[in-house]
Amino acid sequence: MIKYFIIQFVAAFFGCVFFAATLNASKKELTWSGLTGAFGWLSYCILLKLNVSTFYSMFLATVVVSLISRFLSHLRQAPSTVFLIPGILPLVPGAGIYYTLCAVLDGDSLTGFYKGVETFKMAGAIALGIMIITSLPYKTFNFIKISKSKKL
Amino acid sequence: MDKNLVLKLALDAGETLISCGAETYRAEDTVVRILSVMENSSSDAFAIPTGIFATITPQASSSRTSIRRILSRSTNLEKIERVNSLSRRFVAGKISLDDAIIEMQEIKERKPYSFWFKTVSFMLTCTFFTFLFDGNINDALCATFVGFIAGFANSFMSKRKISSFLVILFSSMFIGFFAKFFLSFGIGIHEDKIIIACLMPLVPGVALTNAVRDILSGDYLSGVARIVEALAVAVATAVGIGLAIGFYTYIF
Repeated sequence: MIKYFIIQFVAAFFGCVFFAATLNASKKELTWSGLTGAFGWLSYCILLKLNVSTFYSMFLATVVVSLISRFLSHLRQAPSTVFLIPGILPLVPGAGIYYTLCAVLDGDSLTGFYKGVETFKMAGAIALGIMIITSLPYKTFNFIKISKSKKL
Repeated sequence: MDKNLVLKLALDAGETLISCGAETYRAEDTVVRILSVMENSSSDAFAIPTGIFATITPQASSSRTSIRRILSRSTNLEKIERVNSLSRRFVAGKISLDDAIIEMQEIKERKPYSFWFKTVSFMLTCTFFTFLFDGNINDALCATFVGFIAGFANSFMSKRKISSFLVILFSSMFIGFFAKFFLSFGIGIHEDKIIIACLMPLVPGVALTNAVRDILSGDYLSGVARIVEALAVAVATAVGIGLAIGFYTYIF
């Protein structure tokens, strides 16, 4: 069990680091983008193992990713987008898109519709998660004071 | 300070932000902040994903408005970060207007990462994402090959300024075709896991994230535009994979 979580964490970390590189993130922020994604995916895996429904797992994992990226944005003095966009990627329902397509191609419209709605639900969960954390004021995240010299 | 130069700097910053995939709110905010450096004047900015307007009205003289049309957009997180830091330093008075204009020009002309660096990053993204969808080592190897081809096609087409819809359509066609092709040689076992892992760098995560953030900050126009973009990208990946699988089963 622990081994499974470690593999997922490491794979998500490197996946997000290299995805951030394809989006031209600057080299000093790559590690942080990777960590954001890895913690988000790890919380998703743990929640699924605890038998939480996929919708709520997705929602809570997105909340984790958004929280980390808002916090890092303060800590690293960079826009939160830099951490949020690569970090959210493992959660985006790529599998849903593929299975919907497969069902439609097989002529199984009922399964296709079911999978399509499922995919939309996942996208909705992500949207909701980002929304809640983004609307928090900046003050919530500056509880760690950073030195004047580092501040821009 | 010359209002024309400040306006130019502000619009350069806003244009770079939008064309690199920042949220609309950030672009408008940056432009207004830069313009606020001018004393005794009011300023306003309006941005949508395809253009940006800004106007500055000094109390003593007539107002001046400028428009920039944004034709191409590609995500570049490094430029967003640099423009953000530049505008903060300029507003705080840490650098002069002339230095800021020179630095802005440098940021605009900054080269993105090299062709091969991007291709290899794309490839390794596919490799590691296979494990997230419970693929085994064999699947990861297959995803690496497929990812390399898709990444190569993606970087190649993006560099030649082909519309992003077509880039995604063709990249996913390559993914569908070559995943089937390598599987027929016995590299990899789970077809679905390999294709999903390779599809992940193409799915509309950026568009979805930005759409939510735009709608939340009240920019409904940009938000809806980005949701349409996310849908278009999702359809492009699905159609690409579908076409490739159909084509493969037809010829073999």
